[in-house]
Amino acid sequence: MSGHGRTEFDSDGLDALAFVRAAAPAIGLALTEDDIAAVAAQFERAAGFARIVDKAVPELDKVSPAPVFAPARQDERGSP
Amino acid sequence: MTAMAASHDSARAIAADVAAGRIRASAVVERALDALARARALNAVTRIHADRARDRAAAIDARRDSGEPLGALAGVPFAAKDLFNVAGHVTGAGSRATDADAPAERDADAIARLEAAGAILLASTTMDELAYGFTGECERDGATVNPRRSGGSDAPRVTGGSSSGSAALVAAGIVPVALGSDTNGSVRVPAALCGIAGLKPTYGRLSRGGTYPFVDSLDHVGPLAANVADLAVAYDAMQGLSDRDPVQARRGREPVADTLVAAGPPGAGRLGGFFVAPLHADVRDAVDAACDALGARQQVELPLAEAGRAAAFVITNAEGGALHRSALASRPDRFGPLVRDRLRAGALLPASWVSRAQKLRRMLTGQLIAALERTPVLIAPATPCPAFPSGTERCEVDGRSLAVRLDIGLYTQALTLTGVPIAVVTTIGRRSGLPVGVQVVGRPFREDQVLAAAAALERAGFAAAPEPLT
Repeated sequence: MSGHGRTEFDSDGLDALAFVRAAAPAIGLALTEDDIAAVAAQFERAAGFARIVDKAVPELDKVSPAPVFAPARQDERGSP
Repeated sequence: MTAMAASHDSARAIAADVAAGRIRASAVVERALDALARARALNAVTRIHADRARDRAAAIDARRDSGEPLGALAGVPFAAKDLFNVAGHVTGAGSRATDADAPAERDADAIARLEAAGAILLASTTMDELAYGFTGECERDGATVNPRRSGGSDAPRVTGGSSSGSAALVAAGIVPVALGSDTNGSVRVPAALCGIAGLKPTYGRLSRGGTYPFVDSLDHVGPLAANVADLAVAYDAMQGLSDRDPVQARRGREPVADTLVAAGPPGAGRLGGFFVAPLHADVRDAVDAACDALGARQQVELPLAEAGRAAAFVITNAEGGALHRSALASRPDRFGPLVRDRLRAGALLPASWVSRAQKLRRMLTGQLIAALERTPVLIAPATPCPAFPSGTERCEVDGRSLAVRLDIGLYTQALTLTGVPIAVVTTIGRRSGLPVGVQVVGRPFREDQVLAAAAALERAGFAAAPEPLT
């Protein structure tokens, strides 16, 4: 849990290597040790960007809503 | 003689000459095919559609002979990034992951609409693998070569990507217009680095029907052209509703080509903060010149721009990974190593990261829309630096070491979440001798204002002649 009070998986304090090693088989990705290191490096890069998002708006989890689908209504502003 | 002189000088000139009977569409196609054959060194083409092009040219000539009306792009050869379906062919998308796919049954909507206006598909073009890249260096197809050279003799430079081959063919004058797609900057970056014009329309404006997807919530299709007027004519032809793209806005056609000059450029401002550095001096000069030309004196801050760029990365990684997860599990050998590892990581991203990125998206869009309500058009750099030599990993720009394969899209990616229309126009940098571009950012569904401002910049000198092929 971070200082923001989140309880979900957080980008802070992440062990990318351990996460990739544990999670990849669960979604059908069979990785060699070399693969795990390479994927973990990419995962860590994404985690870095996730941290930038978190730090820009620490209260993001309380901000609502994310863009959502609105049936029978087209958003003319061009964002989904 | 330039390749453009061999094919023709502009889409509008070709169409006017074909309509007036001064040249046959068949002759235009033969010249373009000849120019294409002499441009192999660019490595810009995955498939030449010669028979189809000749058949269509003959049909246009027959229509003209029988006095039938011709479209606004009659006889104009064009190229399409190899993620636009072409009936009867497998859509390659720059990846062996598509090798076992069935051939497309129908053309992509964008191709069908251009051809309905009389344009003639000449070739499918190279791209970064699965559109996941900014350089035009593809594991399967090799690197696309930028026709622009500094002094004509230096090392081959990247085109930018992922619409690399389309940009290269326009810059070399082989075709006056081409189709690209833009998720994080894939029209805007290659337009800037190749010295041409490009348009990412409003998200949902143009149908993506019949295109190979990458990130559904960010994917756009858009034209690339040698000049803004041709860009506008192609954009107009691409408009229209389709039942093949569920996110397309339910709006009628809103043509812009005839309004570019009459409307005059709208009021403009300049994006500051995140967009100020790092910039190569040539890019900074270009932004200054664009702001001077449009009278843009007010600097506008988008406090969430850097976070917006980060959110775009997360959303892209996650959606791309999800799209390809099944194939990554069953046939990972069909992906290039770099894209494979990126997509595997994306398939593993926690949903909470993506959810926060989507929330950030709404906040950033709100900031930008508020700024655009005060100032209809905003100017920003397209890339931090001009094209760099193929194979480059890091570049020093403005005292900062950039991971340039990723960071070349720094300024396009920061805006891509917002879905607003953005054009790119270019000029040749005084120091580098290479093209550099500026983004012209506008209000949602106001492509007319974006292109009017782009046209004004073109009149002020933001234009580069096609690069002669030697």
